[in-house]
Amino acid sequence: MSTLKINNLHATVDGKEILKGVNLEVSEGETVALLGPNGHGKSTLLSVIMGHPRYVVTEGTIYFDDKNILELSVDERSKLGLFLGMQAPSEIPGVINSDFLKAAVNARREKPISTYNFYKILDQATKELKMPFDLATRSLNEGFSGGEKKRNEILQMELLKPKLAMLDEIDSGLDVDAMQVVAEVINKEKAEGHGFLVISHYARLFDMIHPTRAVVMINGRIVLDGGPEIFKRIDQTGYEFIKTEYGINIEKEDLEMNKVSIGTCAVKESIK
Amino acid sequence: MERTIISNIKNTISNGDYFIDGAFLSGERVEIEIEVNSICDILLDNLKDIKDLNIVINQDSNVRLSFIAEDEMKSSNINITVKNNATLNGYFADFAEKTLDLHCKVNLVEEGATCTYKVASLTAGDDRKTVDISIDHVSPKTYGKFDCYGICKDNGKILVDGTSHVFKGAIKSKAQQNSKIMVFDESSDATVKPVLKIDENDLQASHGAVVGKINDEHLFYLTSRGLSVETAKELITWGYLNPILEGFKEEDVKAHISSLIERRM
Repeated sequence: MSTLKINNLHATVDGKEILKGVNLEVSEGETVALLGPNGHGKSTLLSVIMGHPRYVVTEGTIYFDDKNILELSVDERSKLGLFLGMQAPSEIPGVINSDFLKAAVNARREKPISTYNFYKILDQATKELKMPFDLATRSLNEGFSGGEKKRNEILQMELLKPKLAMLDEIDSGLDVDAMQVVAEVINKEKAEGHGFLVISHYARLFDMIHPTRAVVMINGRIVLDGGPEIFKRIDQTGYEFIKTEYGINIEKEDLEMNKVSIGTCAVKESIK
Repeated sequence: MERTIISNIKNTISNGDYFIDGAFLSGERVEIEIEVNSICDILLDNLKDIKDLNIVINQDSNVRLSFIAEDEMKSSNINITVKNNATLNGYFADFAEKTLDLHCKVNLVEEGATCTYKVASLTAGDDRKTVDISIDHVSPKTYGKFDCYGICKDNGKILVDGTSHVFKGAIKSKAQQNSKIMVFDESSDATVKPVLKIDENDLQASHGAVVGKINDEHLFYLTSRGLSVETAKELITWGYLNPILEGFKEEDVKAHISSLIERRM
């Protein structure tokens, strides 16, 4: 069973605890909306599941497909069927999008895909997403608009067919038409039995992809787990009811100044 | 168009494509003068076997000088003089093994002389490399730009020494340098010296140099799609060095450089 099971997960970044005991289970084929105010750990949770090196897990477990994924490298987690559609995908100069996509497809195959077959599936996927094909031949995400980057994330999801796709604000930067296109791809994947864990601040995307469950993350924990009525209520009234009805105080995000360092020019010397 | 092979020690050339095989001119001091108002494309291989290469680019000419280093290259010197309103576009694909010691000096001696110089360098497996490029702005309204992209890994060591010198009187000149070296592991060492020597007030000059490790976010992004760390590094290396191919005209030469990058990755 491709179930994701998170138990008492604690994680820190630069020594500061962000996740403070997350418990969450996402069953195979389920679509779960992950909600919560800014700065309360939603994106961190998805990054930790995927294995981002910046975050340190200090306590707890994450199992997927009955495997302890905290013991797996990032690429092994991907090959197990996890996918993270990122909020701010990296721009990687010089790395051609199609070379990267082909390498990602081949990472899952014993025998490399033929160039003809690869371009066939790439052509089909770009058409479904109404993406210009030339995006595939450009440097990865470099110079892409916000909407193009997000479509490129969904393109990767479409090619890799993950068992569980985690989408972090995939709708930001998308216009209504593009959101419809993305929702159609998500619904197609859902129909094939693939699961989703989706962060969004807006009900519009959820109205299109119909989550089966909604969970709310506050102060680094999941505090509410229920049906789709939760995101409808949050969309209309905000998070205030969580404080009044559940007695949970919503901590404010700490904003720190960036550290600045000034270097010096190098001095003349030769390599010995 | 066929490339004309340069096999003499002293040459005067005009419009056309030329090939210099260093092995053929072994141990010699080679001189090339490009006639006024010419467009030339010069491909240079096996530079290590030429002692000194001197090129004079005369008025209103436009020259592309592309060269490849693939074997050991001990102490090679190139001197290029660029005259009135002439342009040099230099491309250096450095995939040399073990030792590379290249010294290249470009003299922008007359008004309007222009030079762009791009270097892609892969330093690996105990390589010791020095890439020393200097551009002298001697006359007014000269333009010089030097870009270096490098990967340093597996106990390799590289020194990139870029000097832009704007002499007194070279008013309204523009000097730029931009070097980026990515170091893959702790055993490797890269030094970049982006030196500006300025003896004039009325000019534009900038220099930037970055020596750093591979971007963790880039590595995470690529591996999160199932690519192994090794494959991700290869893609990044390829993306870093591949743009040098634009400086080479023939497809078979591009393919050869690609195979050099792959072999050394």
